[in-house]
Amino acid sequence: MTFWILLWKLLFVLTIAVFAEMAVLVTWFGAGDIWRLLQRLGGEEDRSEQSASDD
Amino acid sequence: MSENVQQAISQTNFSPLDWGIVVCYLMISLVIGLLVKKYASTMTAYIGAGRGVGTWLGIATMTGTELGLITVMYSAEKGFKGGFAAFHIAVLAGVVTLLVGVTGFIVVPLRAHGVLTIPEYYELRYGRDTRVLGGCVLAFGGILNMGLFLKIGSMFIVGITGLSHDGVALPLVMTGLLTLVLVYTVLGGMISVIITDYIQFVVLSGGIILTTLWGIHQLGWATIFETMIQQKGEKGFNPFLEGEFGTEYVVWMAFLGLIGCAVWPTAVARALAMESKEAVKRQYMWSSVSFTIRFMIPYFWGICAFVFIVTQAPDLQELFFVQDSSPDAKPELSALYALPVYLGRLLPVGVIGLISAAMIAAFMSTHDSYLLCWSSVITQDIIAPLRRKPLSVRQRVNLTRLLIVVIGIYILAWGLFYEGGDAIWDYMAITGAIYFTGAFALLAGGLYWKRASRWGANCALLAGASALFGLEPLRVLLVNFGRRGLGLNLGTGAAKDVLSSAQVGIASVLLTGLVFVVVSLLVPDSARRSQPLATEENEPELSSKEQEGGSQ
Repeated sequence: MTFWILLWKLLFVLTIAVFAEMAVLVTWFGAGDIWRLLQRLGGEEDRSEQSASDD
Repeated sequence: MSENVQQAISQTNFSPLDWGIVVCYLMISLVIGLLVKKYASTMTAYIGAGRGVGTWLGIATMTGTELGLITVMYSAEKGFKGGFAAFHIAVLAGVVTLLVGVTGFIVVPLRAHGVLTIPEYYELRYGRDTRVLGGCVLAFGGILNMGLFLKIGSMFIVGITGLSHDGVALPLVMTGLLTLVLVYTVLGGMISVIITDYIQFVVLSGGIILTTLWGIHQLGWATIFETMIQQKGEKGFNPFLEGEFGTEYVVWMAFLGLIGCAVWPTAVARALAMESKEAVKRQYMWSSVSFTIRFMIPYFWGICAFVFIVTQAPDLQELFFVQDSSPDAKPELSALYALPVYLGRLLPVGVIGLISAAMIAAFMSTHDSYLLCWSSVITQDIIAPLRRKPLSVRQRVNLTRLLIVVIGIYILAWGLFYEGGDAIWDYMAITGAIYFTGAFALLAGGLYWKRASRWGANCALLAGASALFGLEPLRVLLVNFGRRGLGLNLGTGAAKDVLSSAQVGIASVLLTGLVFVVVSLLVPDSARRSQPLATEENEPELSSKEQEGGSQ
């Protein structure tokens, strides 16, 4: 039983630590991804409006 | 509901300040959904966010989708009953997701085909009839699967806020939350789903770390382990011991871990929306942490709820634990309520509002993704292929919006009328298995086995229905038929204990795989339909037609 207790303790602490780090990274870089996504979709929207007016 | 139960649930620290935090959060989500509506002009943009999602945003949206409130509720129940031994499910889910990220198994070649949904791949590989059949099976199993999400999620909110269970609070919460989700999903499609998922990730990740640390601080790290050792012994730590789990259960969970990340449509939809195959791999490698966390944290909260009740809340012990020794005795209150009751009593004012907002975030991010996923499958894979005249992009988007509302009304009605009881996990596993047993064979076989055939695929999809026998009433029927009809010696135990749902699940997967292989060998495709295997060297390019409006 000692093995399992130690294993779960270790994995739990490790997972929480990695998750906290990941949360910070995703929050920071995810905001940049949103910006790029909206820029790209905005550009596509402009192009579709342009081609519609050309037609 | 007895007076004792009502009294126990109403003892919560939830205050007007907490209501303010929750309402602010909901308004922010709604406004964002409305703001991004203008970007959802094509079908690819509406259900695939224009395939322009970067790695970090992909991780946020994957986590937001897969860490739903329903997951938190049934996982907390598992931790409450099974203790730390339940952690094996979280570890297996994380390891399998990491392996999928490293190898790209299924998801990378699928992304490379440029499809928007899994049944769309079925058509490319097997034929249109397989796409329609696969779409029907997927939509049927998937919509049934999410039938209880709304009710269970609303039960958590009603429980943690201390609203009356006997009044109109539950239906009102269900209707209000559903309306909110429908508005921003219908208007903004995948773009609003992904952006609100991001905000929900930020709130959710902060909330779950805070709650976990607060629980450890209040209960004591050593006390948590000592109480579990005293109350559950080695079974509370070793998953291979028979009891709540066992070896077959561990094997079944490993398979479910693979399904959850590589075959389950809502997770795969995230891979299909990524900008490149490298982004898909990175998304899965990082998401392995999320796939571990989404189970491990709620298990830990369930364990904390158990320890809290044992050590600090004697009034709850008589409600949550069996009081007499008869074999049919049941506790007065379902273990599902342990988490909201524990959080409502333990967390202070302000923090409880943040956690409730985080949980509502989990609730909403799962609902929006599931609604969008099933409605787009019906539009793209059932209705569009069956129509002689092709649907325009506008018709597809509008049809998908209409279906989102129809499915929303169904889950509201199902949640109001269906009495789920304690069998939520069984219900979800079985309804999910209707789809994923067949889908696993079709995807893995189609992508990696040259001789996979259309007939093999269609028969495998139908064979997947054998998973229904995992449901307790059908298991009992099967065992009784074996005993009386066939005269088999199946022991003297209760019928439901002779055969476990894990055993039926594993048998169903093996049967489906066998049917797929045997029928594919017996009835091969004509040479015309033979497809090259999707490898990193010969991945197909996206077609311009799909980029514009999705294929038929």
